[in-house]
Amino acid sequence: MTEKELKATADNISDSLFFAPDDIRDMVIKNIEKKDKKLAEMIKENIIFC
Amino acid sequence: MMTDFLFMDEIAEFIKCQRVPRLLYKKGMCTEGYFTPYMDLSDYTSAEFLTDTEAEIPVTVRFSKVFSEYGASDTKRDAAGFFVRFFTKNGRFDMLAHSIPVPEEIRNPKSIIKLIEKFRKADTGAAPENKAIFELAAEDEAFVPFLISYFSDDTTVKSYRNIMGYAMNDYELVSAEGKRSGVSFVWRPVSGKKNISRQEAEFLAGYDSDAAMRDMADAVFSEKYPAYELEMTFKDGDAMTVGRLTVNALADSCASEEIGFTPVNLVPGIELADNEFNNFTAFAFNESARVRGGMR
Repeated sequence: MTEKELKATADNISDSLFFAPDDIRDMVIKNIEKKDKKLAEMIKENIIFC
Repeated sequence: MMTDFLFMDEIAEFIKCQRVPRLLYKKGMCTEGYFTPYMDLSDYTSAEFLTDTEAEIPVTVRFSKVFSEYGASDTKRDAAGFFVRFFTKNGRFDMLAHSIPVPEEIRNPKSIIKLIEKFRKADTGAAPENKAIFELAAEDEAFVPFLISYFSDDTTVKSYRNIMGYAMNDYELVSAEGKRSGVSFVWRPVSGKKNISRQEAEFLAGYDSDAAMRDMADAVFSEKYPAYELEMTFKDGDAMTVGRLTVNALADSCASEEIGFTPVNLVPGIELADNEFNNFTAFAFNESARVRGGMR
């Protein structure tokens, strides 16, 4: 995945995940972190600024 | 009393078209065209569509959304189905592909059934599919690679001309001498892969909900025939482009509803690789076609 594609994916996930219940959101980020740390960091950053 | 028998025939024909709805791949369109092999691969297979370089093999291709309902927008976030039926001299061969690959982590019957059930139950509320996939990824990290693909821009497209087609099954080629080679296939659009942002997808969902189907129809009517190249990869990683698919006509909507693609439609020279996922999809698609009114 290119940097641009990764950013688009992170934005798309964060925009929807922001509305998920807290426990689901935390668990999803934790599981993403196991597969792709950079993507998980980008999502966390996005959600903080949402 | 009705005495207009021609009209009654017309009504009967109309009713005949109303079939049991598909479980998945509901909204879609059927097209026709031909496949031309680039090279003679008879060292590996006896299948006509990979050996006869003079042949123009007729094909039917159905493009669809995977999880979306009939009335959904074409730009709604969803993978696309890209199913091809080759009408070879030795029978029909169906290759079922998707615009995103099925991740290795969920290539097993239990995960696929779990995914389908979750999406089917998620039929109320805003963005239900997103909720479903989050719940799955929260309870089982095996669904994370699917979540990442699902939320990439690859699942928001406005044209079927520019989608990839990752064959769902892997195969074994069998030569006339009985030599076997494990392979997988990918369709690559000749005009390049293109997708759109979430924002454009949202705009188009309201502006032209049939954008992808309309675009395909416009391309065919204006004789700018969409084409895809078939890439074949051996188990050792060697890859080659083996042929070209050209879409040059639209099939009628009744044919689109009737046709039931199934991985068990194979021809001599190519077999499904023996694994759990292939066995499951062969059974499931075959059963689905049977339930919907028989094999067509």
